[in-house]
Amino acid sequence: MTEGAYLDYAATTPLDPRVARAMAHFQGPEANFANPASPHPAGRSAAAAIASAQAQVLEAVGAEGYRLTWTSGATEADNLAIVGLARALAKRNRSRHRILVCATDHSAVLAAARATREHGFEVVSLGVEADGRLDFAALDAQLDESVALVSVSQVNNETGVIQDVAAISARVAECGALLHVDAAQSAGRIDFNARAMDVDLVSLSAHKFYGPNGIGALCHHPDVRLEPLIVGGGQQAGLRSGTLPVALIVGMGEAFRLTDDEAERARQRALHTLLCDHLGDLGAVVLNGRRDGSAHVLNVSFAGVHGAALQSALADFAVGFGSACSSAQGPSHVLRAMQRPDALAHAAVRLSLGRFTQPAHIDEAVALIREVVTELRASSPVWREIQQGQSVADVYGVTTGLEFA
Amino acid sequence: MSTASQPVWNLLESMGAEADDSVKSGLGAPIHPERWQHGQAGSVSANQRIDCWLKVSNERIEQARFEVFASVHALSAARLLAQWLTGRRCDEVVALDGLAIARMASMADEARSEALCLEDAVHAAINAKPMNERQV
Repeated sequence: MTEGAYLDYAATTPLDPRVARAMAHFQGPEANFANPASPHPAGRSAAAAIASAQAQVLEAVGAEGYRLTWTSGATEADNLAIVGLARALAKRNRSRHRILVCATDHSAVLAAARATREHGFEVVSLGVEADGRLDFAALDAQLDESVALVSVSQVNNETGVIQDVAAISARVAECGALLHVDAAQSAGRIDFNARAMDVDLVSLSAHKFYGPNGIGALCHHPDVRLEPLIVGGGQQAGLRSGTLPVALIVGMGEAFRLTDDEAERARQRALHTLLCDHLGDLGAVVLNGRRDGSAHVLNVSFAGVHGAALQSALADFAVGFGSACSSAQGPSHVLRAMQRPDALAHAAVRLSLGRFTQPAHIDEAVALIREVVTELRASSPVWREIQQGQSVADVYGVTTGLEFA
Repeated sequence: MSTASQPVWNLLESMGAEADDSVKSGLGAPIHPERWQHGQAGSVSANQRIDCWLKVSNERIEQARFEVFASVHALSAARLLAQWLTGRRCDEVVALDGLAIARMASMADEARSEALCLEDAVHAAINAKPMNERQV
């Protein structure tokens, strides 16, 4: 159990007790632990549980009628979507040889896209506006009949910025390309309907939404052909070999059955507003993202405070600095794409809340951050200059607009 | 109180500072900067900036303060350096270099550039003219 408030839900979420109960039926010597590929009754029962979980996941993302391939998580799902598609296309269709990705996408998407170069694909990174939304002019300039795939994350894992998937989808469909959406941070939290939005491939992660670690899924339109990345016993129609982890899959199914209802969304939005407003009282708190972003993520930079000192002072607090997946790699590529100077990106904190966050956790976070930021600012020459009248933009050399919490 | 609520000053103490009133006295700009000598080094764009404030009388440093926009290693070193500088003659300080600062403060290798920034800030302050009321 973590000490103090946990505000790192974007990194991972606690297992919902209801999910744990559902999984328990398939764990342990007294449970049904059979291999779902086995022909005997226990195996068939396990297979039925998997089928039920599959239906739950597909329904949660509006992808009924799509195929679903279970993976080890969203990273593998991203790789299967992008590299698997590239391998399939490389065998058949050389006219479409370009892949467009959003500059702020998760490193799993960016790395998978780069990996398609060995199959002859060109990768184009689409820029974003200063608030993190995709630059539609950049998208329009790149879309043509040579594009095979466009990939975007519906909710950014660092900033919570929500991309307009419907608008992107309309443009992508017009040029005949396929659309992949990484919904790891959005599924279960905000509206997403693969069929209605005309999305061809959707990557999902269980542990980002109160499910177990080690399981994810790629939902894909039945017309999309993919080549497998993992070969072996031929499970999942050969698309992803390996014995299916029944307990994990059942857990993911149950997690996605328990999507956030309107009341829970409103509760989290209220907590987000509380956090944003209280931190904003400190003054000169730069908002990295949009106020109408996903309610579960708030990313802010504290002007006048050095990032390394801030991280040291908050080292025992469960928040994120940049991406939890790549925190050792310097200022975040997401904030750099949003044209934040390194000094400001370095001083960014990502606070992410969820189903089990209470107002007391927000109070605890605000009190600690207020104490740390106030003390660091008291001995900062940069803060002194801001107090003496220089703008944050001038001090940091920012040429784009800045929004403050 | 959970460890998560440890403030910055306690963090500095855990790095070897002593928990007395002098913990805070070396950091932050002087409240009344008239007659202080001010030097700065580094920049925000370099993500490292240190300002040194010295009150000098008869070629001896009466008080020293630092403002630090850098890591906690630099904050800790600046606090120690402020104590070391107090009472020193200016000609002793001219010979001070980053390596000596790093050794004095037991700075990690990766913080060496901050030691150099401290050195530059101190030398800039030593060579500055005292601020008059018009400049404040």
